[in-house]
Amino acid sequence: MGKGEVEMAEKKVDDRYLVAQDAGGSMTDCFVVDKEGKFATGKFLTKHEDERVSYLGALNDAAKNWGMTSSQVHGAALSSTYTGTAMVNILVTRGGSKVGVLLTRGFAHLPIMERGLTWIGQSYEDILHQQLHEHTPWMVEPENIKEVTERISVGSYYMAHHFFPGTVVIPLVEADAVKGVNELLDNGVEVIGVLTLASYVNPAHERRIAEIAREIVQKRGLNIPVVASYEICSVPNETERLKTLLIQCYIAEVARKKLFFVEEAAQKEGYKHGLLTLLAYGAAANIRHTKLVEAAISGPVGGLLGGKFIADFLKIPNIVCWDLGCTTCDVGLIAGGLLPVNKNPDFSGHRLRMPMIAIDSIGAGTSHVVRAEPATKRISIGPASVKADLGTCYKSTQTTIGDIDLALNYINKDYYLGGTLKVDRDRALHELENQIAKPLGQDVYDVSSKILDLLHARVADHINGVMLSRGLNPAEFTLLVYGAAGPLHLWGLQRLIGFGDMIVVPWAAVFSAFGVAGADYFHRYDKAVTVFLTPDMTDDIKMYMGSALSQGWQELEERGLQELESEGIPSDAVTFKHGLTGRYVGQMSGWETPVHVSRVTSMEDLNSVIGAFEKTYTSIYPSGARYPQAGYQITEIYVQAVAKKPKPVILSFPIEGKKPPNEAHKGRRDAYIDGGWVAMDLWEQEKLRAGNRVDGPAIIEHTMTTFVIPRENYVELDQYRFMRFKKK
Amino acid sequence: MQTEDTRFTKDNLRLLVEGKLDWEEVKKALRLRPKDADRFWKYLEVLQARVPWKDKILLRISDHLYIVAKVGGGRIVKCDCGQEFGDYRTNWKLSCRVYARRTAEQMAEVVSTEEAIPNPELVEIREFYCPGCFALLGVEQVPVGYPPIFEMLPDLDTFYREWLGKPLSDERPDWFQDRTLEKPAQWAKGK
Amino acid sequence: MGICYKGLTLKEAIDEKESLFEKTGYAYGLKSLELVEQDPAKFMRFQMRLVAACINVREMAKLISANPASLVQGELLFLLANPEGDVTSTSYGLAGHLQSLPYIIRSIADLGFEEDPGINVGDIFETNDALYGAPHNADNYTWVPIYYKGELIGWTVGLNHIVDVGGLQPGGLGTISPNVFTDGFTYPPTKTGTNFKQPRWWELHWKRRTRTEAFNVLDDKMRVAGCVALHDRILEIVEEFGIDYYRKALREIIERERRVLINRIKSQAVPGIYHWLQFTRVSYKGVVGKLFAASNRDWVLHKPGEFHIKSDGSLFMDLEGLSSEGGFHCNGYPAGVRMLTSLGAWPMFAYTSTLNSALMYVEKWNLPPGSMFNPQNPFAATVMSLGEIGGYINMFHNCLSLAFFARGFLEETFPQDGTGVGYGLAGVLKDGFQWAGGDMTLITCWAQGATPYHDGFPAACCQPNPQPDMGETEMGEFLQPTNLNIGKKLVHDYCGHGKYRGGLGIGMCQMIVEPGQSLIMAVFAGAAGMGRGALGMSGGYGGDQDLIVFCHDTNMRQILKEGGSYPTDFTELREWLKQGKLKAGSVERYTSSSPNVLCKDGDLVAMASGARCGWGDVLERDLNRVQEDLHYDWVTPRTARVMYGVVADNKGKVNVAESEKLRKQMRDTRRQRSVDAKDWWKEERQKVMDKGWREDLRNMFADSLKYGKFRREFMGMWQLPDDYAL
Repeated sequence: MGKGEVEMAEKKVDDRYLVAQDAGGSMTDCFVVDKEGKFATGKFLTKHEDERVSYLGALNDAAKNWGMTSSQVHGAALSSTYTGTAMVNILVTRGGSKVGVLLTRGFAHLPIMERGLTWIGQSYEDILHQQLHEHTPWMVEPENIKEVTERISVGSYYMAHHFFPGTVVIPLVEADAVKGVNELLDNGVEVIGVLTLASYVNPAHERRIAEIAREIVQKRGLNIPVVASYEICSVPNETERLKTLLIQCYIAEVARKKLFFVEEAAQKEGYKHGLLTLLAYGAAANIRHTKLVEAAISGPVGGLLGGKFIADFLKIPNIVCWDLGCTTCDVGLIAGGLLPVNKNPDFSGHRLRMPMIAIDSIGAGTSHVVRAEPATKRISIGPASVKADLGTCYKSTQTTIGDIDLALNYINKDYYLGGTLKVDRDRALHELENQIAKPLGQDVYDVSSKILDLLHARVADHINGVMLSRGLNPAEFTLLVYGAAGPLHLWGLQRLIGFGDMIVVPWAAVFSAFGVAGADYFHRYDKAVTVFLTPDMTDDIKMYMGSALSQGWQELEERGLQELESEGIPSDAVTFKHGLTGRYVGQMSGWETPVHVSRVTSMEDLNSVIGAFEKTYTSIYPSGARYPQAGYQITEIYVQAVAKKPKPVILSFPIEGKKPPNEAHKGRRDAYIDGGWVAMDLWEQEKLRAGNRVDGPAIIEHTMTTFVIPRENYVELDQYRFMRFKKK
Repeated sequence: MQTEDTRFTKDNLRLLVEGKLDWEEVKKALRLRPKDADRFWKYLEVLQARVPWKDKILLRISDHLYIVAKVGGGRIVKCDCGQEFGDYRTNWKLSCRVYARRTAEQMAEVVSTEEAIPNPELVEIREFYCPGCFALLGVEQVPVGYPPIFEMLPDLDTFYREWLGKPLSDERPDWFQDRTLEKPAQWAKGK
Repeated sequence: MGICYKGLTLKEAIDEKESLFEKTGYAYGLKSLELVEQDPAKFMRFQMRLVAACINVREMAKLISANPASLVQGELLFLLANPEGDVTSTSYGLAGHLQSLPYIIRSIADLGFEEDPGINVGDIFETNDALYGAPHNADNYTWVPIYYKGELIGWTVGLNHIVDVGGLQPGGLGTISPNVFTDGFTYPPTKTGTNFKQPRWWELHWKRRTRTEAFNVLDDKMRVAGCVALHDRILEIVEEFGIDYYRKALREIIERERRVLINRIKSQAVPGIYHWLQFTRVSYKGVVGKLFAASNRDWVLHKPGEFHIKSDGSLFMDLEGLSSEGGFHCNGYPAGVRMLTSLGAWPMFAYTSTLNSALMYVEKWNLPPGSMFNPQNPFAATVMSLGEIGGYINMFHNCLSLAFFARGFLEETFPQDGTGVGYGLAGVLKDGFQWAGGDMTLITCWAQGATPYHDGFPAACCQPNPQPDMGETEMGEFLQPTNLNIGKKLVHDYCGHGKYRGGLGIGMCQMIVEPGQSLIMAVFAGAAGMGRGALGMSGGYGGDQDLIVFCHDTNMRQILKEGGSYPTDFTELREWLKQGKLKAGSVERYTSSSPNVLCKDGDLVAMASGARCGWGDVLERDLNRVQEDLHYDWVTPRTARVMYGVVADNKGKVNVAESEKLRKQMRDTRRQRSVDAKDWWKEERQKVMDKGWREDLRNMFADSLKYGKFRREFMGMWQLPDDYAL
């Protein structure tokens, strides 16, 4: 499909490759890098029933850019990382395992009530329109939910005045567990999950119930996995923890089978290592990783990893990653070189409890339906989307943003996906006239371009919101643009937000696959702790509290070493990063912050821990919102166990003249912008060179993307051929 | 009547009325903007096809009850079983068979949670049946002596003329007028 | 020289707003919407930027909060109002509250705040006083003026529901309060800060006048931080669009949205008069004793609603006949009525991504002076006004459901008979540590009522908050360690039945553990022994009432020591007591709010709410649905038989022939035990003549007969002699 070097490089057998694939709902993107950093990209229609086919297909498509085959690449591949929507599909197609769960007595309906969160993922209008509220399909049948008598206290905000966290208030009745497990096995469940309240402060009961289950499973000569919630998610909020447990139970093993097939296929072709996959918090991990649920929602994470890679490579600490696709607009922030983490991400109607790289998505994209209500002159974009039907220009009967992009001539009707897909501009125009312009009594081109303004404003508000809620200023950030439609609408966005700098990567359409290739190999472990540091405490009490942090970190480090070892990584190749979540005593939410100590052995250590929290908090809120007199509470700690993994290199090219080569110029096209038709120069992206400058009004075309540059802007290609979008 | 607005079809409406429409389709209907303008006319066709009698349905006011244009004049309330309840301006409950549950035992048959059974000293549960088919048409939970509640008196002439743009042939200024109290007045006179 | 546009004073500006609508029927007299007509896309963009600003600010500010209700259960709202107090955009959350703003701004105008204490850049104002427009003192409003070149161009507002209001009872939902002085910390509109900062004295009020200082202080910080941030965002937007566009567009937003709402009603409803009715009770007799002698009595509250869908598509709600104001906790003011009932309007016809005050221009209300929702005594208690007003949310749901049903829009029907159970508690732990808290779990997540086409979903919606959320036990318990949760689940049979049944309600069960020196709980519940609503839907039965059961001096600790188990909801509690398995020194049952109840170690508290109404005749329920209910134990075999006339084997398999037979018998029973309306009327009339009601009912009728309309209907229906009196 495409490659990062123009002249065909002769490939030698001693080459080494990194393979990365992102299997999307429709297409599987492939990204291969060699040891010099030359890369090739490929695409293949995702084959959900047998992903081996699309895996090999995409790799071959990429390899043939170098006149190679997938097996030649596999033979010399250092790693192959495979991620995508496989797990989501298991959920959507209801193809998961038959699950049984054991819960604290009295809470059997948690999975059915799901906290009443019947509105996750809905637009605000639908949320108000409560007739539309609905529960997610059951991942566990009510008859496969069993209750066990027990209760452990979560402890209290009043600290020493009442229960110590983890106090056993109602002893475990093992008979309940025995009975429950046997009934579940009689019902023929394929996996058993266990969750008891407060297990994150004291897993004793959960652990015991799991033991009992495993014993019985073994006694009955069965091979049925048993998962206790604390093993995969040792943090508070029972419903979110339960959802995480259920998804692990429901899809993890089924998905693992699929991944093993792919690994087999790769190894048959001579791939010598274990297949890697991507975890929600941005790590690559062997597909044998126990908490495979962490791989379930890694979908949009690839792009942010790419962003992080570029941030490190270009030494830009603050980056806004912006991916505009056909149905969603994803925004991710890299602030101070850190990827922010969301601890209870939503996943197709479920609210989970596990760390995921924070990505804020809204329904905004080129396939969103555009509507006009004649009576009230109301215009709406979405929430409905026609997805792969694109718009009336292709298979849909409803007009979309995509129709407008075509009608206003931003998109080349003869070069859609390099001309491989036929779109009908006349029909799009006709429908926009009938469905939008006439009802509103407006000129079709004029109202269309104003609807784009509306879209751009929505995206801008979304990005502003993401930044505002973290107290950040766009001027201090570089906007990194990728995704099929990002370059197409950047011009509108940059008029509404003043970013410090704007970069469009040349391989925008396969950027997340690139990010996957750049992922670090590490595991992250989270643990709830109950540490209070209040003004009335003496130093030795504070130190006692601090020791809890040391112990916790040590415990997590050991788990990390263990698991990485089981994936064949020697302990001396492992390094650790530490962090915690803190808040002022009384607050309900906490703020995650990395710390630079791994053990608390002195008041200095403790103060640096508190300092780290204060720094994070005041970077978000006015100092008036601080409340130190209430004291501090540390609710969670985490450890990242990091192993080495080869990374792609980004090629640098000799800087050539500002004037692009003539063969890159494809002529001119009139496009409608700012209330009039403007003749735009057309350029072929693949033929532009480092150092070239392209002045607006112009359009840079690529088989997979279109880059619109209005009059007041121009684009410069730097030594990496990153396209720097600037104001004249 | 102009061509059907197929964004929500008559067939889907029939299924909805029968409680058989797929939830995904229901959600589409809920999100429809603007709503299909000919819904009411489709509704009348679906409903008319479900009743055994010929009188023209003007409005449906409950699962079983309809306000119909009686052959030979008048607008009356009629049950799908054929039972007639008289002029729609008079609360149809006064033409029902009535059963009032006044003891906890009687209430226990229809309140399945024993703790939730209303206090018989405070309220009775009134059930209003169709004298024809004995379908349960209405339930009231009120203190003894509370006047029966007239659930709905539609302004039919405004509805058909101003909202639907298809005036009824027998418009009259007094169609939108509560006549309920005339009935007890007659009863008091022993009629 | 006033602070508003063209030098009008705040009061003049508001008067002009009101007279313009009176005269023209259009908000701000806007016959035409120039900005909308000229450039709908730009207008939409402007409007969405305002909404986004509110939402973003809320997401930023809420994290500061200490209070689970704000953070998880969404009891929080930020909004932008124009100078006249009309809200033009809001965040997610307690959307209803935007209706209160016009009243609050009208209040400070009438109080002459413009001169004293003055309204200046950087000022911070707050109130929670129902007399001045706040619904009740648990809902605290913070607002900041926005100035542009010396002109007042709007207000940014933040509000949330705080945990404890320092009343006679712990929590924010007091159920005993004879007058405003026992309501707790109530402050009229107050300037609590200047230059966007609040002085220390304000924090001290929270410390001294409420039981949950830390929570309330952080909540206050949250509201202020949000208002200030929104203030800055709005000024940016003004710069972007220009002040003239901004000023004009804020008004067109209201009028345009008014037309959207009218349009929805006319295209989905049927004009006419609909009725809704509810009864509830207040029981102070023997509770307040000599201390509040005048309030030492019981009340039955009469809550009628005549709901007019008018020919022009507007709505008129006539509450004549409503019980009179009294020395109890649940009086309310018009602002509270408009605020809370709007929660019935949003889902039924007012859902839009751009909520604003347009609804104020679509509704008219008759709230008779001297009635409980228009008290003439300035010291009337309102701490739990929302409990009683809340019933009227259902008037919107049920009357409009009937209207949509008649018109053919079955999918839009959404009957409800909602109330909820919540509690406040306060105690002194073993070591003398004083603490307090509250819980809203059963208020922030309910089942749906049945519709004409499907059963109500359980745990699916919430009238007070469009984003239902029960919250997390592990989060809530951390703040209430003495109340150990041993059950939070759906309760079988606990719903209103019908051809389609209401969603099952949720039951909570707690064991009191190590309360220390003392622990009192005050539980709020809405039903009161008279059912949720007086009217079933189309022959369906109403939802089951809220329930509260206290078991004192139990042998629970002993049972557990011996390795036994625990009951998880009120039905198990009942069975365990019957079987003698559980022993209790005393059992208190409430279907309405409880007084302060002292709890000891090992006591059990079971609460349940959220059960919803059915639709249609139970005997027409599809046999397969009943079989499914049996399979999942949503209904018991007894209910299947007695209620639905369904015969099933012990595996829950339905016997069709037997069931048909039983259903026929049950119809025959209906025939046998029912009488002609005329005969029933005679019997009922005789009881009315005999006046044999118990005291509280008799008082209710006597009170309502003071109001002409109800008297006419009552006298007419029973054909009573003119001298009939109670």
